[in-house]
Amino acid sequence: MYARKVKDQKLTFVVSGQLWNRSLVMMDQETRSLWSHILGECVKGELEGTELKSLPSDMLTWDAWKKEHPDSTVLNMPRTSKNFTKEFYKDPERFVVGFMGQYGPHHVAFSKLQKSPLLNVDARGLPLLILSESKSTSVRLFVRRVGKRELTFEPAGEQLRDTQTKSLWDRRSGTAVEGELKGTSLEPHVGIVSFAHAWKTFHSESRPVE
Amino acid sequence: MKPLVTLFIPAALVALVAGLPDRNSSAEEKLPFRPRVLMKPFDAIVEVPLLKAADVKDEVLPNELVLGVVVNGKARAYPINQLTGPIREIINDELGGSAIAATW
Repeated sequence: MYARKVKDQKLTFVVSGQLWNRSLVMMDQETRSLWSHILGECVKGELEGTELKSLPSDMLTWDAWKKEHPDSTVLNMPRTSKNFTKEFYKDPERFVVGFMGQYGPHHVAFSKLQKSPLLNVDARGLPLLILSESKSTSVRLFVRRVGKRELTFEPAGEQLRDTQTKSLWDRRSGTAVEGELKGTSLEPHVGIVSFAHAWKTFHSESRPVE
Repeated sequence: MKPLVTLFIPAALVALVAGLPDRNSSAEEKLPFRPRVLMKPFDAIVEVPLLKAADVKDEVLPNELVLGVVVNGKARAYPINQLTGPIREIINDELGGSAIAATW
C-alpha cells in the first residue's frame, strides 16, 4: 500500500507487463518510469532512485476488519481469484512479515507469529511491538516508544499492559486506554506480508527476528 | 590540559568503536534491474467501485482476506481476491484526502 504522490506530483500506476525476479514491476503513466513493487522504489526512468511512501496496512479476514471498522468502505469488483481466504496461510513456513529497521531489512516468520502473538523486538535500535492474531491473520507493528521512553508490553486479557507504567493498551489501535499514558498512541510501523523466498531475493541481508 | 581536537571524534569512528552499525556500510547490495518483458502495459484502474461494510452481502465473505488501510480516520478494505492477476494488481484510489495505490 503506497502513497502515490511523489514530489508534489500525483502518479497513476499501471501493471507494466514486466516481471523482475518474478515480482511485479509497476509503471507510472505520467513519466513512464518503472517501479519495483516489492521495494517501492523507482528502478528505471526519470524518477529512478525515488522511493514511494509505504502506508501501514493489515491483511486480515473481512470479518475481523468489519468488526473493527464498521464504517469502512470496501472495493467491489468481480473476483479474479478465490484462493485468498484464511486457508491461504495453511503452510505458514512460506510466509514472512518483512519490515525496514533503522539500518536495513528484517523479517519474522509467519510460523513464529502463530506461536507468539506478542513480540517485543529490537530491530537493531528500533524497538518494535509485533502483534498477531491467528484467528483473523492480522499482523500489526508499532514502534514501542513514547517520547524517549522505551516500553515493553505483555498481554493483559484482551488488552496489553506496558511494564513501565502499567497502562492498559488496546491491541488493535495501539492506543492506551487506561493509566498514566491514557490517550497516547503508538506509531504504526509498516510490515509487509510476503512470500519468504521473494523477501529474501530482494533483501538478501534481511535479519530474522529472534 | 588535553588538546581540544580530541573532542571532535568523527561519529563514524565512534560507531565503529562502539560496535554500532553504520547506516551506509550496511546498505544492501542492489539487485541489477533485469526485468522480463511479458506483456504490454495494462490500463490504469482509476474508477473504484465501493460498497459500505453494512451493505455487503456475498460480495465479500467473512473468511476472505482483505488489505485494510486507514487514512485520516477513513477505513477501506481491498479484498485480495479482487486484487490479483495483472488486470487488477494496482488500484489508484483516493482515501481520506490522500492519493493511494492499493496493491499487494
